[in-house]
Amino acid sequence: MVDTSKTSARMTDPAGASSDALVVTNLSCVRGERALFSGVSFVVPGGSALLVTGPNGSGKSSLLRILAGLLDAEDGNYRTPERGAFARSVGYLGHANSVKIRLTVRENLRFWARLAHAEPAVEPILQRVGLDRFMDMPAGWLSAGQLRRLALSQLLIVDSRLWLLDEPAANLDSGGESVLQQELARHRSAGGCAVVTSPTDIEMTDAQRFELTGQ
Amino acid sequence: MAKALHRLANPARFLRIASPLLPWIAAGAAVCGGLGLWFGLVGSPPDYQQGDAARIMYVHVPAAWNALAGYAGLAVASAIALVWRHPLALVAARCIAPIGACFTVIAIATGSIWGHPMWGTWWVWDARLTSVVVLLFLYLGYIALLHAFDEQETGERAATVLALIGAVNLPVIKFSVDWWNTLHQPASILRFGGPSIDPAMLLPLMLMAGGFTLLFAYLVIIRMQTELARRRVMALRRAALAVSQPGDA
Amino acid sequence: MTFVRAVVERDLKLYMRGVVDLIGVWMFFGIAIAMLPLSIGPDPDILSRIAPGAAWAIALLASMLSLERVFAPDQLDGSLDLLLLHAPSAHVLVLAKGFAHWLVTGLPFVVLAPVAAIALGMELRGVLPLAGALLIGTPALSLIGTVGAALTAPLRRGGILAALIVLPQTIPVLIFGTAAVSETLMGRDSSAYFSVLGAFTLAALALAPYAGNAALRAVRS
Repeated sequence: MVDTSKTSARMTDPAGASSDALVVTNLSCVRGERALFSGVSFVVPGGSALLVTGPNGSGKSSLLRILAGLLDAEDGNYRTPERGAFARSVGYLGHANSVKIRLTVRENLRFWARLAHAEPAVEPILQRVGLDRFMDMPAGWLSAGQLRRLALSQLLIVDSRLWLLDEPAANLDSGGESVLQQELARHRSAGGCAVVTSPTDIEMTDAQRFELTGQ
Repeated sequence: MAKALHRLANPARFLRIASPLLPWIAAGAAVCGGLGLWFGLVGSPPDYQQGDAARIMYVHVPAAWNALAGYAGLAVASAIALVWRHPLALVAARCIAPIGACFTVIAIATGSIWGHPMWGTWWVWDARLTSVVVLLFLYLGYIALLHAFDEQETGERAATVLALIGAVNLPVIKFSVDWWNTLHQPASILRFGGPSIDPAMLLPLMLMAGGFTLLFAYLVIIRMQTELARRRVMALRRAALAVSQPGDA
Repeated sequence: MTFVRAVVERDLKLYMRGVVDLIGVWMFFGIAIAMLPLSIGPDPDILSRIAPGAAWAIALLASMLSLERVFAPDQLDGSLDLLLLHAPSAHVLVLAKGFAHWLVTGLPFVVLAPVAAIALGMELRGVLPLAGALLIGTPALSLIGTVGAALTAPLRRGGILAALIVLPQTIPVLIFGTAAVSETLMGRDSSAYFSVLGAFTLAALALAPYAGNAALRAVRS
């Protein structure tokens, strides 16, 4: 199926992972004068997911922010997958929803769609997350669970290969959770990979697990 | 590379070098200041125009020089902190700031007192006084930003950027203020063609400048020692907490 | 370019949805101007002499009032992370943010300040120089202000601190901005002052993106 010469050319890094994988080597993070974690290494190949668990303050969010390029690691390195058939390499869903309550649901999503050159996808994606009925309402009217769905739609519209999801299930209602699971499955079957954090071990089909213990 | 620099910036090494120096710096400051005061108040003639009032110059001018040099030091320390992530440079910068601000206040206050007999008023918006006031605001802005954040490290990084912006802009501000006010006295020490000031006045001025500079250095080192000790206490307390409550980080 | 346009249009929309805050900024300007004759006295000689400078200085102060809205809301709701992720570089984001800020608190004063100055007794021939000086100089103010806003982005009430750290940096713009107007009014050739003012804005355009990038990197966590 895959052209072997291409594959071997991509197998250049020591971990032996191909370019569709996230490779993290010996990453450490220091906030203030506190070491959050050190020596974190893992590989998330295309099509797979990693669930990072750990107590509050163990550095789950910082790990994702480092991988998203929003924070510098103290030591170690990482390599994000090449975007391949996706529009971008890295997509990020943070702790906060990145929603402007003064804009309507559609306006919120359309802004990020513009940045990703994906404006036609706005309405279908709002349907996928179940917010199509609220399309022209101010986002300020949404419930916490609906706001989280809107945040999820902002991730979906970017179409990136690596998803970094910081506690995506927080505030999400049960319907929203199944939407999240569906989208994760769809993303992985398309060859994407994901790193998901959660304070507790949650149900995630066929995912690797990694625990940050806090030092 | 970064790690090698961090070893050079080792606080223990700094303390090992700085602590034995400290008494000598203090002694130097006392000797220079004492001699400077004696020459300034007793051993030099009064100014032929301004009389004894001009003697305040021996405090005012060194304070102003050190205020400016302090900002330069702040900027250099900030640059080192930003480029090489030198942890000791951050400590130096945060310790210089309040002392520099104090010297600036001394320069402004003595300038105002000096100005009263000369201009007949406590304050004149003359270029140099205005520049020093701006310098004070740069110091105060730095200190305010430094302490505005919950996380000490974030405040230090933000203040570092601000110090460098100020350092780049300071010459422009100085040029603008000078241009704005052409009524100011020409700077008489560094004037082209050599100092125009009488040697009998130059000696105490230089002594006092040396004394003020050593005092500045002394205060900065004391503050740095205190800050390093404080950090060590914090680290130890945190470690003690981690031991007493295992697993609950 | 798409990025800049999208961010500027979104920021303008957000400013307009909260237009009460903006009107507050413009009203502050008007009220502060009205306070001058009330405090200094209605003497036309004094008022007309200080008119251009007062209009400049108060416009500068007023534009500082909205610095709190440049980065802090985006930082608070997490949008700043996504903006940085999408931006070609943080430098471009700083420029876009500065431009949007200028459109709502720089450009309006190009119109409002001459009106206020005339109300204080400035001669009519001062209108064009004052508007021109503001047009050339205020972009520098917004750019410097944007850097200050970036430095205070995570603070809950960072507005006053932003103004405190930004105002000293704007002194050169204020000095040459007012000089350009007063020299013109005194009948002297003021083209040099306009040139210096333009140079400040160009320098701010060149340097503010770097300073803003460093500022955003410094305060992120």
